[in-house]
Amino acid sequence: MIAFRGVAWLAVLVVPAMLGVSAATPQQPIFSARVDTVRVDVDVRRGGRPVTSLGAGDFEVFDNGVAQKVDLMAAAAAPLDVVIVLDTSQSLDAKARSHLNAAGAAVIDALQPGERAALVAFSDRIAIRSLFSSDPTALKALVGAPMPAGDTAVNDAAHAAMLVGTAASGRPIVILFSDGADTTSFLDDRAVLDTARRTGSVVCAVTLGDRGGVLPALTDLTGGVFVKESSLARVATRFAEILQSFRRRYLLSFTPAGVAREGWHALTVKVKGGGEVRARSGYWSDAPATTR
Amino acid sequence: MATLHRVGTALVAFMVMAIPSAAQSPSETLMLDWLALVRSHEAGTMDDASASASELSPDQIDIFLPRALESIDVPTLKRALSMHTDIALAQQATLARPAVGSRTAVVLLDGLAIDDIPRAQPWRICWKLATGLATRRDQGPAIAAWFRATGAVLQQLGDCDLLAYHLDAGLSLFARDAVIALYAGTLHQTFADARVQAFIARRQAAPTMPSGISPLAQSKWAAFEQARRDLDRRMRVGRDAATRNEPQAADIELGLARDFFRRALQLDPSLHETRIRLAHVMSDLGNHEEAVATVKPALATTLGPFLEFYAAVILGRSEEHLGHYAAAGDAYARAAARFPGAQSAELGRSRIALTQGRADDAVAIAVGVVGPESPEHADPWSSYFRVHDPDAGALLAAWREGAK
Repeated sequence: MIAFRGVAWLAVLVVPAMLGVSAATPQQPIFSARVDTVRVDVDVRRGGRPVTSLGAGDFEVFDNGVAQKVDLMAAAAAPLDVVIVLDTSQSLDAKARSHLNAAGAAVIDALQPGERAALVAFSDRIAIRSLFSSDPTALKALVGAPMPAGDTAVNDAAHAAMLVGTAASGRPIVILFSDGADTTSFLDDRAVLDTARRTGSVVCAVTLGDRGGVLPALTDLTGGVFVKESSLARVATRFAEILQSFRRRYLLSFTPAGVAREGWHALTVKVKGGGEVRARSGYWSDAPATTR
Repeated sequence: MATLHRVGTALVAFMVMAIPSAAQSPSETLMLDWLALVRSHEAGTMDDASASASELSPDQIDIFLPRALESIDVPTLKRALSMHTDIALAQQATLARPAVGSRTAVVLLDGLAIDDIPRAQPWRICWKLATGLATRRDQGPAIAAWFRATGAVLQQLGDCDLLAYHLDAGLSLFARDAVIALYAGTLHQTFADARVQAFIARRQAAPTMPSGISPLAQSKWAAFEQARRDLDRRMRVGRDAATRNEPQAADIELGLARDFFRRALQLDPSLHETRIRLAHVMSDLGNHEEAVATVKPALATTLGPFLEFYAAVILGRSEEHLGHYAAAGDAYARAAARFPGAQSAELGRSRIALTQGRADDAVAIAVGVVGPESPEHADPWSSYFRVHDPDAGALLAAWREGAK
């Protein structure tokens, strides 16, 4: 026997009490950063261990199959802009949410000078609690702000987070936690993956159990990592590892040459001498300018 | 008589009217007492009469109900149906622990069983009354209307289990009723929803009860497992796939929903809600061309706000799948105009802005609806599996009026 209590009940009973959550730092986001230069975050490993001593000449990048001239940017030239995305759905109890709040706070604590974070929380409702801010105190206060429990709209949240990421002035990375089972999003998997192709964020996700929904494909598409975790108490550690790992990545840049501007550009990144390379699988370019 | 003596002071007046003669059998006495309650009940309320009647177990009513269905006049039987419907709805609305006949249903939220609800089975009496009444001359339309009204209420309450039995009973009597077919399709659509599928998957992933849990948790575990088994039985065709946690379990339910919707549309092509739900199912099954062709005629008519919203967002999603971004944007904008700030429609709009190379607009739309400074707005999408049009309240009020 099933009495199916959907999101509408909670929307009516709980949501109005949660109004008034405000941004950590009111800011005017930079929504557009159209450039002719393509930047690609690249993780290189050999035998599972990160390789950190490569130069620009060690990389080969192909844009729609055409080899490109690559530069290696200094990480300091593009500090991290992290979008933290936390699940507050019904499937996570209060103790679980406290672990997640700690994980969010751990990321904020780990930010280095010049780096910023934005914050998105979600159940069936999406709440961009803060756009990019460098104020850790305000951000941490928002991490623990109450959010109504409800169904899980991870697809909708991922879409919103990637849009927030387009306001990054540095390297946009989305670090997302969910129990992995989308139960109520309006946007389907195809739409979320398309958003990923058209925006520049690298998406990394930590989930509980095996049911990741669209997240494995999303992280793979954007060059991020997908981590299955069995203990919520370790999510903070996983978040910190993702951030640390991201700082070891190479930031390649190139100006597309020999390819049409409009449309989808499949990217292939190789390392001379071999190695396991993780990078986004392509980028979308709208006419007339090339975005990231 | 002995049973009703125990039900409280409110019954005293009725008992005076129903003092048994020496010739009356216990069942006749019980029926007379029950009739007194029926005649004094005010439809749409939980008054003293219905409160007293709610103390009768279904088994007690079964003792005299066959005779009542043969011998009692139609208006009184309709009043009886009205009273027992009020009893059933009152128990569901309050989630009150019933006095008799407890069953357990689980409550799902986010694919998780969060509670189990003990409850009586007053609907069993309603179905018997309705079935008996349907055989009386000229009563078919009124009883079909009762199935529709109460079916809409059960969908609104999200009580899939009761609704399944309810619609089975309704379809067995009114196989050519377009609205009941629409409701049956909606139920299968609900079974295909990720929240129900997630519940099944979670139960399958943890098939044995963990050791060391409290007796209370053990009882919940047993109730949840029973619910999963009941759902498996209910879903029948999709059971094998569902228990293997395979995506086609949902597709099978969507297929059943599609078939019911198509039948409903054949029976009544003017039923716009059917078009909208059929289009949604076709979209979920990947047939976006048919989804667009199905839903467009509905949008060309005058629809209520909820149906117009659903039709527009479903059209938008299918047009987007087909790469018709301008048409999709128009559809989402129409939905957003109906319910300004609705998250689903606005996220759809932000998607279209992105596909049209307007990333700035995409972000502005999203931030405008779910950003730090954005106010809370209702989103009908979250009620999609609860709403029929006309709504349950209007249907029930109309039926009660007709039953007076």
